[in-house]
Amino acid sequence: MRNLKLILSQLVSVALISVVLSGSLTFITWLFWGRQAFIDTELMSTIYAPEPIGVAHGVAEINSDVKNIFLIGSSNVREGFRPTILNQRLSDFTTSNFAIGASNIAQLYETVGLVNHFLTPAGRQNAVYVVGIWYGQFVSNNKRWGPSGKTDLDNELQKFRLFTVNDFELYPRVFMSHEVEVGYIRLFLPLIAAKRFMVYARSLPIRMPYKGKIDDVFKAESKKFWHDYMGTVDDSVDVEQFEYLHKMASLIDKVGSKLILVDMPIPNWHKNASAHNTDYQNRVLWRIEKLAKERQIAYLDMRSLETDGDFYDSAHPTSQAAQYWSASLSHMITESMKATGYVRLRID
Amino acid sequence: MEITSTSFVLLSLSSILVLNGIKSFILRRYLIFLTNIAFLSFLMIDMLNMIPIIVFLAIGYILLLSQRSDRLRYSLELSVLLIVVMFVVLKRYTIIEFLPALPFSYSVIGLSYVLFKLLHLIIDVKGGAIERIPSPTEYFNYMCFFLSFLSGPIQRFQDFEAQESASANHQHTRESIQKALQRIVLGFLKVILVCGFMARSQYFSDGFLLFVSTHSNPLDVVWIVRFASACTLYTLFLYFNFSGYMDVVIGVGAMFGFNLPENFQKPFEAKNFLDFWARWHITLSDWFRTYLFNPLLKMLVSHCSNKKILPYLGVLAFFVTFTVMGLWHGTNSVFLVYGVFLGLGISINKLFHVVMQKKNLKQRYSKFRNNIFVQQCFRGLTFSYFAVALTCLWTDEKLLSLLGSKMGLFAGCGALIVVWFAAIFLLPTVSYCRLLVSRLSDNFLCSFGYVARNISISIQILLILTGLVVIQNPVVFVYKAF
Repeated sequence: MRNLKLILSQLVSVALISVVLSGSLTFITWLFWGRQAFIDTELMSTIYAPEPIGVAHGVAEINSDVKNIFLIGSSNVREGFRPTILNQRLSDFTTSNFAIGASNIAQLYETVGLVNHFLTPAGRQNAVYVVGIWYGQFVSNNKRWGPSGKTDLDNELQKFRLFTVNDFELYPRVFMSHEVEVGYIRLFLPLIAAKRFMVYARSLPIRMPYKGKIDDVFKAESKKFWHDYMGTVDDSVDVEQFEYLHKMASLIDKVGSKLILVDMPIPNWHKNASAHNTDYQNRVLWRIEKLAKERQIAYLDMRSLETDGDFYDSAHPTSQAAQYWSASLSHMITESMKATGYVRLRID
Repeated sequence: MEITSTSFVLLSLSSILVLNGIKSFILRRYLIFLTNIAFLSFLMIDMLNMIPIIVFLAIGYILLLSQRSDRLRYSLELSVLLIVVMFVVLKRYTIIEFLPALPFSYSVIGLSYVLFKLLHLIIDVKGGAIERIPSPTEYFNYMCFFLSFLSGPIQRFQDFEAQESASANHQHTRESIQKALQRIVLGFLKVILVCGFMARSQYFSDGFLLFVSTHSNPLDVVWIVRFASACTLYTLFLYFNFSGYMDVVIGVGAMFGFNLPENFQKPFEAKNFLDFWARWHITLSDWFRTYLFNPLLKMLVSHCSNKKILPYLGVLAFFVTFTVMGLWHGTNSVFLVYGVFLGLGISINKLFHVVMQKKNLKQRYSKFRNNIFVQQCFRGLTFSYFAVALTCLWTDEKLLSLLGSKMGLFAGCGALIVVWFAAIFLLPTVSYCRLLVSRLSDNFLCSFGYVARNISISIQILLILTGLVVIQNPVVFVYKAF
C-alpha cells in the first residue's frame, strides 16, 4: 500500500498545481483581455487551422442580449466579410464571423445548429444568419469527411464531450442550463488563452496564402485542384447538400431567426473553367432561389463581383476587395432588413 | 487505441493504481492479463478482427511446446518457416498477392512485434537459453503486454519474467515515481506538441507531396530544398513520435515496477551509420543482430576457407541483415528499396572501416577520425543519408516512382548534400543547446527540489492540453503501421 500512497500523493500534488496554474492563467486572461466583443475566425486562421476551435470556443462568448449577425460559410466568407467593417456600418448589430475554411453545406448546418444552441430564446429572435454559398460547398460528405463522416467541427466538439452528432445535428449528452454549459466551456480558459494567443500570432508569417502571379500554370493547377476536391467524374455537384441547406433554413425559421443567403463570387476565369460550377448553376441554384422564395429568405446575389483582379487566388478576395465586399454586404443587409418577405438583391 | 487517447490514459492509470495496491504475485499476473485483454479489445474493432492474431498466437504456442520434443527432427527450422510464412500471408506482402485473402477484414497491428517475440521464444527454448516453457498466461502476457504490443520495445522473455516476479516486491520512492511521471509527460509533450506542430508545417513531407502533385514547374533548386526540408522534418518527426511513445510506455512500465529496455540513445549524435544503429530502435537492432546477423556471419565464416575474405563477410552479413530489416517495415517494393538503402549505407560504412583498419592506414585513419570537423562531417552524413532513405516511409510505390521521374538521381543527391551541410552545422548546435538547457534545468530544479519539479510537470501537462485544443487533429503514433 505504500507504493499506492506514494503514487496517489504524486498525482494529487501535480493535479493541484495544475489547477492552481490553470486558475492563475484564467484570471490573467480575463484581466488583460476581457470578454471578446465579437468572434472572427479569420483572425485565428493559421496553418494549424484553428477556425473550428474558434467556433467551438467562440459560442460560449456569444452575447444573447444584443442583436447578432452570424456570418457562416467557408474560407471566402471568412476572408471576404470583415466583422470590423460590418460592426461599424451596422451599429445596431454585433457581427461575428463563424466561417470555417473548406466547409461543405453539412458543416454549415452543424455550425448554425451549434450557434443556435448557445443563444437564449430571446437571442434567437434577434439573430440573423448570413450564409455564404458557392459550388465548392456542394461536395459530398463522403468525399469531404471520409467514411467516418466527422467534420472538423465534430473533432473540436468531441473535446468538450457536450454533444453527440448524428447526421450533422447536435444532441446534448446531458441536459444542462445555458449558464452551466457556457461556464463549463469557459473552464477551458487556458485553452481559450491559447486561442487568443493564436489571434496575436496571426501577425507572424505562419500563414502564407498564394500571393504570386495568377498565370496560366496557376489556373491549370487550380482547375485540377478543384476538380479533384469535388471528386466526381461526371463534374456534378452533390445535390444531397441542398437537403442540409433546406434543414438549415427550417431550423432558422423554426426558432424565429432570420436567414440571408449570399451567393458568393469567384473569379471569372475560375467560373468559366469549372464544369462543377456550371452544374451548380444549372441544377442547384434554381432550387436555392425557390427555397428562398418559399421560406421568405433574403437572397443576395454577389456574383457580379467576379472581376479577376479582386482575387488573389482561385476563390479568395484581396484585402481591398474584402473591404468592398464587406461594405456591399452591410448595405444589402440593411436593404433586406427593410423589406418584408422574400427579397432578392443583386449588386450591379 | 492511440497512446494519446483518453482510453489509453485511463487504462494505464487504473492498472497502475490497482497493481500497486496488490502484493499477490498470482493476482498481479491475472490483472496484467486482464489489462492486456482490455487493451486488445480497445485496439481491435471486433472479435472477427482479432481472430487472425489469436490463431497466430495459438499456433505459436503449439510450436513452442513442440520444441521440447526430441522425437521431432527439424522442429526449429520448420517452426520458424511456418511462422514467417503465416506472417507474410497475414500481412499480405505483395509477393503473395495471387493468393486469395481472408474473407473478412482483420487487424495486423502489433503482429510484427509478436513475430519477433515468438521467434525469440522458439529459438531460445530450443537452444536452451530459456529453461522452461512459459504457461499460457505467461505466454500471453509476454506476447501481448500492452506497453510493448504496438511497437516494442522488444524485451527478452527472461527479462520480462524476472521483472514480473520482482515487480510484486518493488519499492517505489517519491523520486522514482516523480521521474516516471515526468517521463510519461515528456512523451506526450513530444508526440502531441512537437510532432503536432511539425506535421502541420508546409515544409513537412505531406506539404512536399502536395507540392509535387500540384507543381508542374521544371526541376530547380526550390525542388531540391523542399525535398531536403521534407526529409529532415520527417526524420525529426519520426524520432520525436517514436521516442515520445517510448517515453510514455517506459514511464508507465516504471510505475508498475517494470524496467522496459530503452530504444533510443541520442541517435543523432552517432558518429557513423554503424554507431547510429546502436542508438536508433536499439531493441530491433539487437534482435536482428542476435537472430539474423550473428547466425548468418557464423554460417558464412564456416563456409569460407579464404582468410583474406573473412573481414569482408561482415560487410555482406550487414547488407543482408539491413535489407531484411528494411523489408520488414512494409509489404511492398518500396520497403525493399528502403532495405537496400539501409543495407548499402551500413555495408559501405563497414567496408570503409575494414579498409581503414589495414595496417598501413590504421594510424592515419585514427588521427583522421579524431578530428572534430571530420567527426561532424560523418555525423551530418549519417543523418542526411538516413533522412533521405526514410523517404520510403512517407511515400508509396506510385509516389516514389513519381519522385524518381521528376527529380532523378542528381536532385536526390543534391538534397542529400543540402541536408548534410545543414546537419553539419545544426546537429552540434542542437546538442550544445540541449546540454545547456538540461544543465540549467537540472541545476534550477534540483535547487528547488520536489515541488519545483512538480510545477515543471504541471506546466508541461497544461502545454499538452493546450496543444490538444490548438492543434486540430492530434497526430497519432506512426510506427505502429510498420
